[in-house]
Amino acid sequence: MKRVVLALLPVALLASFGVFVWNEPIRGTILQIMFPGRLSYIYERVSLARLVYEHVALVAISGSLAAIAGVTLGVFVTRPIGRDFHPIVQDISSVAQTFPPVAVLALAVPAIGFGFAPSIAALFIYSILPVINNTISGLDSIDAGVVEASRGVGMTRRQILFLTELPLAARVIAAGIRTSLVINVGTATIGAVVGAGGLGTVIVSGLVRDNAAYVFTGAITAAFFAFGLDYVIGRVERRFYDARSN
Amino acid sequence: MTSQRNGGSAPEKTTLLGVVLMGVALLRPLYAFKENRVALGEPVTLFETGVPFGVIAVCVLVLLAGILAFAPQTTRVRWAKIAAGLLLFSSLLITLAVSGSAAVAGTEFARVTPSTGFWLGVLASFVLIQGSLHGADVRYSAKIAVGLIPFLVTFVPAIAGMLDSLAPMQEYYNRESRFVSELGTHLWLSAAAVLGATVIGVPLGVVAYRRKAAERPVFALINGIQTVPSLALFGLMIAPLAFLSREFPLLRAVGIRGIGNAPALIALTLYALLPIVRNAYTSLAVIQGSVVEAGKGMGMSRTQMLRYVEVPIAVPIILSGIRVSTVQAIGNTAVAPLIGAGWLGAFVFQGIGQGAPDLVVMGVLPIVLLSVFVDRGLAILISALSPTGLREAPT
Repeated sequence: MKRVVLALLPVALLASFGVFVWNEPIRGTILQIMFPGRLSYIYERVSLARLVYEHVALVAISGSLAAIAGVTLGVFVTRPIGRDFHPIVQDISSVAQTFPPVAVLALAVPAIGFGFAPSIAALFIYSILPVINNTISGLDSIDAGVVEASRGVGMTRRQILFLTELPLAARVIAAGIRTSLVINVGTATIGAVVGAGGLGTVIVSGLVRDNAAYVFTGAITAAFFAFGLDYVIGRVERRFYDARSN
Repeated sequence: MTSQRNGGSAPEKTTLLGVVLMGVALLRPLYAFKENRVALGEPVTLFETGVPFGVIAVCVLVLLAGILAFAPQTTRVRWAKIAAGLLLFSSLLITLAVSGSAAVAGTEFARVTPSTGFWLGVLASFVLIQGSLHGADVRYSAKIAVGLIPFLVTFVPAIAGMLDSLAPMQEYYNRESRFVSELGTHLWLSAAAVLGATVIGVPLGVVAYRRKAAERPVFALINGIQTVPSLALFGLMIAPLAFLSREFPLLRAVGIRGIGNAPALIALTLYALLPIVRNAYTSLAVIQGSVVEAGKGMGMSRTQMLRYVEVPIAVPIILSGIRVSTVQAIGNTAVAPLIGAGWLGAFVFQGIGQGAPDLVVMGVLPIVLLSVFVDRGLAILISALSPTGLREAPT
């Protein structure tokens, strides 16, 4: 019984999230009960569903580019050809990681401009850092003996990378991508300030117009999105490892 | 892995990267000259600055670095590259300051904005310096000294008024008194959040370690909080606090409202929890391990164990958590202006709102510098406090 409830809980949450986002009358009623006496409950300029799409697009585009580029760069600096760059890449990425996300986002405005595309660039720059860090530390932590053994059985360099090193580092790399995506969802929310669109738009609008219902709408949706993404990646990871360890 | 370089016949690639970056920087404008605050800038490259000393210095240094990349990488060559990097940064800044002052002389509102050429040059210097520091057999104190030089080179002329022609400096002068108070509040609030998180987080970590039943819910909760976007968490604080403030006059009297410092401080504290709880938990796990067995084996008393084993091991681990939390808190505090709390981030959002990129830079720089300095400072402190046997070079 408990297991059934636990298994159905995510489904139920997802369903209520869907209703909240797509069904405006129901959302309006909920908000009216929570925040009585407001002039408006439904953000009228853009639909919430549209903002969710924008947010997904921001995170999906910048996040997947960052994952690809980050892993590639991490692999490059651990190969003989790029080994010279190993320390400098690690340095730059660890210094850059202490930069606040708002700073990266805000600096993108003078550098590349206002709107969706510059925000993608800023999100990309920020979310590539955990991927690089984890790829490097994942690959570095592999026992040299394992690589040696792979060479011993006659594997080529490419085979060693794809069949030995990357699978062994996969767990650490995946953790980096997960961190990167969760940070990305949060940073994308602030992106509304620089015209990126997304769920931050309705929060910022609510703050400016002193409308708590708007703020709540955006905040709860963004929080659910981040939560859901983290949960799904966690599940995928676990399934992947369970399947492999059997 | 040992490098297969033999006798320095292969060039040092990091240095080459620095030289290439500087080469690109030379083609880009060093700064933009603006008639007034909102005017579009006219780009000026290094060669157009009219500062022959700067042009010659930069070209010579780039050439020198290029040659040194092909020399055998002895300690002396590495120090020469570090010096070249530091001088390159200084030359760029001096050229910018001298040419900028000349350009705005006699005008009332004109200013110069550092451009891509300058920022790329800064990156090139960083690559040259940092890349050479790594291979060199350098003491940690020397590394810190080298790291501080660029800041001295920037701050001293800035205080002396030599950088006054730069647009971010002008934005700063327009808001000087507010800037100081905002900086104070920013520091105070970040510190208060981290302090609060430490007071709550360390006991929470202990509880999570001691009671297995508490472990999962505690971590699920604080992990969950970290997952929520900062702006959303700030937003979610507003409604309940506004409600409490409305219902309980006492709370209203002490200044707790839906917007402002109260919700921001609560959200920042919640955010700061995860690293602190996690590290408190880890420190206990480490203490309970074999080190303690060894101490017992040596016949240490309970107080001796605490004094010589447990505290020295736990403090650096807990401090590492506080370090992560502090850097995060400084960054998150920058978002707080959106919920009506002031602080440094306010300049950033004002700058974005007014379409004044220089104001954005002026607001962002102190936040970034604060994060970097606090991060480095705590790293040094942690390394100094670690037991010698467990000490690692600060990262």
